[in-house]
Amino acid sequence: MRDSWDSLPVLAQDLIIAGALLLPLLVIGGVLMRGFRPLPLVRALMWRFRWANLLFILLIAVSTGMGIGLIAQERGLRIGSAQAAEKFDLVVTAPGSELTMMLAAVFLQPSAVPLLDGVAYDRIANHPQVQIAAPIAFGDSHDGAPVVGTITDFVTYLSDGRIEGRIFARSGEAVVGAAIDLQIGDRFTPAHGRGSGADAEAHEGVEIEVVGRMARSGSPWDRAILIPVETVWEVHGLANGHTFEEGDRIGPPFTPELFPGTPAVIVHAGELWANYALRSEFTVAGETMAFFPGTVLADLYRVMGDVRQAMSVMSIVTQVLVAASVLLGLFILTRLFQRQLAMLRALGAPRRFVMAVVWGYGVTLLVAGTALGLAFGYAAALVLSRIVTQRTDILVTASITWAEVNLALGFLSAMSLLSLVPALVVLTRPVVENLRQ
Amino acid sequence: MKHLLAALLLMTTPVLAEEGHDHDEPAHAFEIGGLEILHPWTNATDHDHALLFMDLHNEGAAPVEILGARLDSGVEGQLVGFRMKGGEMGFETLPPIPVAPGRQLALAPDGLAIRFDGLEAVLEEGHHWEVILLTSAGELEIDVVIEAEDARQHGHAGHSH
Repeated sequence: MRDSWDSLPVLAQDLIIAGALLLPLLVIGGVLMRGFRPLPLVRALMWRFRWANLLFILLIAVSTGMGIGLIAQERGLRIGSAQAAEKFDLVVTAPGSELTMMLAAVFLQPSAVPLLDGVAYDRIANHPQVQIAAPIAFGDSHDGAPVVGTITDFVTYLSDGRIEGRIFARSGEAVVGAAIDLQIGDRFTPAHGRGSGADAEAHEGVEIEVVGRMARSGSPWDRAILIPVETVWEVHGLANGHTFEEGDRIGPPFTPELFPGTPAVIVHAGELWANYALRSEFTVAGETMAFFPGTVLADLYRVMGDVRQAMSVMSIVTQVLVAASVLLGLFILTRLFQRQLAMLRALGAPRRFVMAVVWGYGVTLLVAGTALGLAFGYAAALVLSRIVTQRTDILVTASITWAEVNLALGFLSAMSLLSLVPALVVLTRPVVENLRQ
Repeated sequence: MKHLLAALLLMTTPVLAEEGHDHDEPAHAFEIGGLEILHPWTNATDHDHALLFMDLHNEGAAPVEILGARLDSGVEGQLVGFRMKGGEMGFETLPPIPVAPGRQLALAPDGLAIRFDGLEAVLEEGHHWEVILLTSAGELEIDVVIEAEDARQHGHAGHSH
């Protein structure tokens, strides 16, 4: 049974779940309304108490929308961060926390991390399976954006070659990310450090010229300034990895003795399978640590999965509270038009017809609120995505999937079942007493 | 000739568990053609698919390729690599992977694994699973420990055999 379910396409599974969730509503509606036409009366009730109804619809919509928006946002952030790390197959660093190293090397979050020496870099760069071994060097910034030292092969790989202008060809040139407010031909002096503690005068006299701009990638590298790794070393008064005889040459190979160190080497292998072998090879106790950012993210998502479950529970609790208030509201609303309902019964309307009117009225409020809630949820996810993208440069896209739709349908179905209670209660009230009121 | 036969016999015999281990327990280390296979394990599952993990050390003089695995029932296991693609987690089928002399290769969750599809029986925690590992040095029957459904490593991980 489980295997047959697993073998179904995901869309088919979602549609079956949605159908199953809607089934109680359809069955109740079918049983109550069969042979009757209660909709004109429901329409009249909706119009007669329009402001109270509108308030109820908004209450349902906001509560449904909040839960849906948060869950959609969490998924958007998860997918966005995974896509941002997709270009980073394998990262080699000094032993330590994989999460810290990933945040520093892939998401460019400032962090004090130990360095790998020239011998370690040489071993990585000269491995026959390694196509690109990009050392990175960070610590400087310009206008809040990190200035990252690296090599040309990595810039080409990162941008898929989509560079306006050209790639840097000598020390003192830069390629900027798509979100950097510098034009080709502009010059700047990097500040030492990042954030509020950055020292703008530490590198006075150093001028870096922008020669190219990368296309947008949806990763924090859109807000980075890439320069030759040699430039970073030189402005800090370190050797630049090359002998004097090599002149102004930039890029690998580097002379191990003149290599000042790198916090991380981004590795790209010629073959996909090689990454797994390289991970084992470059994980040397006490020397180097190799990890897949994708694996670290997967671990992080497992934790986030628990948070997501907590959010889903919170969302359900909110829905239950709203359900209770909607139920209470339906009782109050039926009191508002109990005289009209008593009139119907006095005129000889069948009890099932009166019940169908009250239930249909409640379900109309619920359907309208849930549909509006889905729209609210999408709008909330859209706004949150823009804020997160602006703050982190991780491209987060909002979307409402079947998971959210089914959550809303589950709420709608459960509430349609509970709406039978006020419909039944209406029938228990004495007709004559209600007519007198 | 006698020595050669004895050596071949040793090569295809599970390495004895270390001193102090219960000898009723299955072996955790195996060897073929200089390739040492440590701690093969999998997660308990009632699905029809499973991932096989282990640590590999090539102590021999020639590279050994990991080709995949199979069960007695004929179900084949393929080498797969965990990958994030389009923001979604998944596995990609991989070609045979060589383990060079003196090198190691780890088959671990969210990394490299051998995937079996179409299992006929459930894998229960605490039980064992007979799998035939396929390498360029030959085929080797290994005893796989079935760990908990959510386990992330072999129960003996960190032990040195």
